[in-house]
Amino acid sequence: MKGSDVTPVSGGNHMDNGASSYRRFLDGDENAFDEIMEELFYSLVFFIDRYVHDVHAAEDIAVDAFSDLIVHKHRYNFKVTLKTYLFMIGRSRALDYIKHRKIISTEELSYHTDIPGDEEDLSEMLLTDERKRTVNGAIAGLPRDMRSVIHLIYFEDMTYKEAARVMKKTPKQVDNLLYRAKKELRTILGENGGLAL
Amino acid sequence: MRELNELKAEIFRRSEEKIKERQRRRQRIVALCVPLCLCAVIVSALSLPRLFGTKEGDTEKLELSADVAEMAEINGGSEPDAISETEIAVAELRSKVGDVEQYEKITDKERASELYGLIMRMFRTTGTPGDPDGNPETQENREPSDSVVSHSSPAAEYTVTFTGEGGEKAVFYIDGDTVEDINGVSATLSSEVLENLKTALGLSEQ
Repeated sequence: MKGSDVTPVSGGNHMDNGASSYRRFLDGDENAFDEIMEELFYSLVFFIDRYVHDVHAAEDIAVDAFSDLIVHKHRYNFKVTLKTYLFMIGRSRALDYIKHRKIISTEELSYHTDIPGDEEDLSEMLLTDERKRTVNGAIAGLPRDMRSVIHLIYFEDMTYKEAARVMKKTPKQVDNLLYRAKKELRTILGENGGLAL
Repeated sequence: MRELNELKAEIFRRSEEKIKERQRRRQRIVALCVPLCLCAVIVSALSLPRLFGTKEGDTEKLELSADVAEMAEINGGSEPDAISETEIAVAELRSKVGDVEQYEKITDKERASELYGLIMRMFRTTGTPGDPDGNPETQENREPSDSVVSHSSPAAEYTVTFTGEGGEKAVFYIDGDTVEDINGVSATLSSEVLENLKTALGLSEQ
C-alpha cells in the first residue's frame, strides 16, 4: 500500500529527517541549520502550497515555521521526526492563512493570480520522477485532505503514522483516506490516459 | 523562489523579531502584574483589620445577646404576651397570708388557659405601664431574683405562675386590688373585677 518503490522527494533521506541536525544546531553548530534547510525547506513549501495554492504565501509560511524552530528551541521534543514536526506547524499555519484569507477581501485574490511559473519551478525541482509529476498534476482535482494524504505518503515518503500526526488524524483514517484518494486518482488518470497507480 | 541563503537570513531576522516581541510581552506582563500585586497587598492590608474589627463586634454582640438571654431566663420569659393562651399547660398559685403559705397547681389545660386569658384581658383593659401614680409601694413590690417563684414579692398576697407547653413562664402578683407582672406592668382592678378574678382562681373561698 505504502509506495515503497517511490524514491524520496528531496535532499536525500539521510539521518533521521533532520532530528540529529537539529540536535547539533541546539548544541551550537550553525551549519546544522543549513542542513535542515536544504533537506526540508522546499518540501515544506511544496506541502504548504497544496493548501494555499500560492507559492509565495507557502514560502512565507515555511519561513515562519522555521523561525519558530529558533524562537521556541525546546518545543520540539524529538518524539517525532523534525520533518513531521515542521509539517505539523506548516499545516496548522496554512489552515490559519486560509481562514484569514477568507476574511479579507477579494483584492488579495486578484493579487496572487499571476505567479504560475514559481509553482512549476518548485514541482520540477522536487519531482524528478515522471510518474510523480503525472500524479502531481492529477491530485489538484482532489479534495484537500486527499491531496494532503497523497502528498505526505507518496511525495514525502512518510509512514501512515507520521502522516496521521501531521494531519491530526488516526492511521486508520489516513488509510481510508488514501484508499479513496487512490480510487479517485485512478479515475482521473484513466480519463486522462495517464499512468495508473 | 528565493535562494536558501536569502531564506535563511529571513528566518533569522524573523526569529529575532519574534524573540524581541516575546521579551516585550513579558516586560509588559511584569509591568502590569507588579502594580496589581501591590494593589492587592495594600487592599488586603487595609481590609484585614476591618474584618478582624467586625469579628470582635460580632463577639460583643454574641456576648450581649447571651446576657439578654440570661436575663430573659431569669425573668422567666415573663413578658405578658410571650405565651399564647392555647399554649398554657399549667397554672400555679401561691398565696401567702401572714405566715401561712398555700400552694395550688392547676394542670387542666383548659382552665389554666382561661385564667391566663382573663388576666391578660384585664391588663389590656385596665393595665397601665409601670407605676402610673408613682406609688412607691409598687416599686418596692418588685424585687429582682434568680428564679421565677422567688420573684414573688414578700408583700404580695398571691403569686400566679403560668407555664407554657415549651416551658415559658409568665408570673403575676396580686396584692390587694393590684395585679402586676414581673416586668412591673400593673393594673388596678375594681373590687368587682378582683372578685371575679379571685373566683376564677378559686381564691374566694380561701
